[in-house]
Amino acid sequence: MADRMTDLTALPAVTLNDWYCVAMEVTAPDAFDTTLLGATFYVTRTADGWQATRPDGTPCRCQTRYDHIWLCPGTPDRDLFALPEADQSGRRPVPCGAVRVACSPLRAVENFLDIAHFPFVHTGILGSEPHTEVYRYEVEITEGDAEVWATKVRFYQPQAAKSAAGGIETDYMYRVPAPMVSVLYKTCPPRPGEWDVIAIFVQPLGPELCDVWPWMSLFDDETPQEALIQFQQTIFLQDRSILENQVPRLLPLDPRMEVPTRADLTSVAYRRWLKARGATYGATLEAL
Amino acid sequence: MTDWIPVSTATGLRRGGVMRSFVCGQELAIWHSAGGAVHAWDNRCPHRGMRLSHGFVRGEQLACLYHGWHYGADGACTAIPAHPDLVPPASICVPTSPCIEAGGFVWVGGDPAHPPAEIPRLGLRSLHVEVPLATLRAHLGGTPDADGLVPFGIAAAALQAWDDRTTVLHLATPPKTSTTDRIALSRAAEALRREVEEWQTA
Ligand code: FES
Ligand SMILES: [Fe+2]
Repeated sequence: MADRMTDLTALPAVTLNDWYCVAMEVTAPDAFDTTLLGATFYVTRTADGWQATRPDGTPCRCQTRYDHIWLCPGTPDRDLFALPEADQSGRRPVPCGAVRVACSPLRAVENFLDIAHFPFVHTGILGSEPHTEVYRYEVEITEGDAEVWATKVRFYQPQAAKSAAGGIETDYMYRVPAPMVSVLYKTCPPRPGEWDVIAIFVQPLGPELCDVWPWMSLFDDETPQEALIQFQQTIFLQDRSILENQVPRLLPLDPRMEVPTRADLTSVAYRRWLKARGATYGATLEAL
Repeated sequence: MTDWIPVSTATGLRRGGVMRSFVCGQELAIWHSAGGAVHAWDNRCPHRGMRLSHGFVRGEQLACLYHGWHYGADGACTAIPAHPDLVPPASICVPTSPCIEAGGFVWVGGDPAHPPAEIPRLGLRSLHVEVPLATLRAHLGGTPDADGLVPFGIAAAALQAWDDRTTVLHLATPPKTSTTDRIALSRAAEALRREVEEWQTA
C-alpha cells in the first residue's frame, strides 16, 4: 500500500497541490508516518507546530484546521477551504476519527452527497420505506468552477435527531469545496434557522483506498461526545459495506458507465467538476 | 457434452436468497425468487455499480441494496424508489445469463432448450478447492455423464471453474441417502480437498 518509491511528480498538479487531511489533532502522536497518494510522508510536532516531510526528505506544508492536521504534498496553489461555521459561537466540534474504506476517495465523497440511499442503507435512522422519494433540488457549480453546491434538498427522516420523536422532513445542503472534502448542512431541530454541519475529510491513501475522517459542528450541548461519535460510526460502517462493493472501485467519469437519474444531479455535477479540473486521482475515464 | 456450468446445489440457494459466484472469473449474482425461479445476472447494478449479490429479493424481483432499484426476471429495471412515479426507461437493464435448476444443482450459461437431466438428488454441500478444474477432475477420476457430472461414491459431483486457480466441488446425493452416509461423503470430500491441495502445492 505505502510505496516509498511512488513518484509524486507524476501526479497532476491539481492533485499534488491540494490539501489533505492526514490525522486528527488530539489523537495524533508526536511523530508519525502517513500514507498519502501512495507515498509515505513523515509528520512531527515541533515547537513551531506540525511539520511534514515528503518521502525524499524535503519539507512540505502542513497546517491544523477543523481539529485535523492537513498536509499539502506539493506546493499549495490555494488556501484550505473555508468553513466559517467552524468559528461560530455556540457550536461544538466533534471530530470522529477515521474509517478506512477500500474504495476510491472520490466514491466516498460521492456517497456522502447521496440521499437516495438513506432508506436502504441507513434504514430506520436516516430514511425508511416507503418514504423514498427524492424531490427536485438545485445544483450549481459556483463562480470560477470553485465548488459544487446542492441546495433545497428535502428528505423524510424517521429519526431526525436523538431528541426528535417520530419522523420529520429534513432540509439539507451539500457542498464540495475540494475534490476529497464534502460538507453537509442539515436542519438543526433544537435551533430553527441554524444548520448542523457534518463534513467528511477524505485522505487518499491510494486510488482505491482511503481514510474517511468525519467531523461535525453541532448545536448540541447535551448528547455526550461518545454517543455522537458512535452514531457517526454506525452510519459510516453502513456506508462502508456499500463502498467496498461498488464495481469498479474507481469512480467512472465516462457518462456511459453508470446510469444517473434526477436524484443524482449532485453526483453528475461532481463528476463533471472533477473532470473539468483534471482531478482524476481515484477516477477512471475508460468504460469497463 | 453440455454448456451448463453448475454454480450451486439446489438446496444451497434458498428461496429469496442471493449469492455471489464466479464462472471462469466472470462475477455473477445468482438469486432464487420467492416463486422458485433461479436467475444468474452480471453482478453489477447499472445505476452505481453496486454488487447485486448484496441485494434483496422481493417476490419475483431483485432489488439493489444501495438505492433499492428493482429489476424483474428479464433483468429490466422496474422501479426507482427515488422517483416513484417514473417508469424506468427500458434501456436500464442488467445483463442476464440462462439459469436453471435441474438434477439437484443450479446451472448457468447453457442452452435452455437442452437442460441438464432431471434426476432427483438432494444437495449435500459445495467446497471451494484451491486447484484448477482439470486437476480436480483428474483426481476425481470417473467418466463424466452428459451433463459433466462424475460419481463420488453414491453422490454426483459437479465442478465449477471459479477462476483458473479455484474450483468449486458441488455434491448431491440420491434423495433417500441416510444421514450416516451423507456425513461420510462430506468427510470424504474434505479429505479429497486436502489431498488434492497438498498434491498441488507439493
Ligand atoms: S447502485 Fe443499485 S440502485 Fe443505486
Ligand atoms: Fe450513507
